[in-house]
Amino acid sequence: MKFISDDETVGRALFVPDWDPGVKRLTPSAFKRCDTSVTRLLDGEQTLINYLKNDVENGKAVVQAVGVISVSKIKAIGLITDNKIHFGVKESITLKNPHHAEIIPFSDEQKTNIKSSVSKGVSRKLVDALNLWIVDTAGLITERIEPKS
Amino acid sequence: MEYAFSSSGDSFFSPSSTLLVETSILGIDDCCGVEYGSATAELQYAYLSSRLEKTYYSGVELDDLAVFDNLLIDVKELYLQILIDVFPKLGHRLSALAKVEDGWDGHDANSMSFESLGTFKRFLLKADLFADDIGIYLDHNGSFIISYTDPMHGLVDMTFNNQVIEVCADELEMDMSIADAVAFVKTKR
Repeated sequence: MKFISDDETVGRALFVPDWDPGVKRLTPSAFKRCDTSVTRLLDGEQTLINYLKNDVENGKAVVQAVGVISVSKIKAIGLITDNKIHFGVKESITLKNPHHAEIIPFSDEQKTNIKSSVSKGVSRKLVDALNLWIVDTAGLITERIEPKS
Repeated sequence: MEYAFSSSGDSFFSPSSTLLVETSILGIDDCCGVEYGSATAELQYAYLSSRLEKTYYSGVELDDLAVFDNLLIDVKELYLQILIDVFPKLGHRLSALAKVEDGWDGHDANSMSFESLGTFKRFLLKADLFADDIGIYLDHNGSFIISYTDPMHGLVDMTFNNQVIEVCADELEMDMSIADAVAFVKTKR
């Protein structure tokens, strides 16, 4: 398992049903899974958005926003709860997306035991820490929303 | 007369009792306070009954889960329509959620759950539109989630499971009955 560096930043594609454009918010459960897909911000914002659109859009789903967060922030949030989660962001290259990665929650600092899920409370905190980019159908950023925390 | 006629494949009940079970899950029995919802529910009940009888008497295999699933899809669409007609402001969003298919985010992400829809419908018909900024989502199990801004608790989210609602805020995390959740949102308005 190859983890990416703490100083990297990753983005999560937001679309129906995770994203509600009417209130410009995403579901608090967006990070509950044990293998949340993200894409690394390596070659600029537009490249990241293009990879996300290529991954997600299949004629039905359309990327409506992107949630952006640093790896160091993800790790810090995992450690501030009573039941600490030791997050790692694992490189997970796919044919369509060479910058693809996954957020993995571990129960131990050595990162040997993967937790089956992330608690709602921690997922909420990760959601609150996201920088949000609202994007149009062409993938251009139309609005930026600062994190709540 | 009984048939194997369940989405889980391990329960036995008659077509009529199937309807009773499913309509109870979906909240028909709590629609009485809403004239339109009640009328629509009764129509839907009759519609489903006729469909099932027709299916049975035409000799179609009743343990064909595809038949049952198609009936459930019909019910889901019509029950969503009840909510859309009562709350037109939510129509666009509910329609979008209804179109979400299994596998929307990985192979294990489910489309809208019937049980969750029933709980959500019961809650909303009693709670009304209690906030101006209600966001509506589905989680990976297909359960409805809403989020809204509460003057006391900040951003609150509610996850609608079968008869139980998980309420979560920064300093709050608890399971509530539908009645308690309705009281919660009305009290904090």
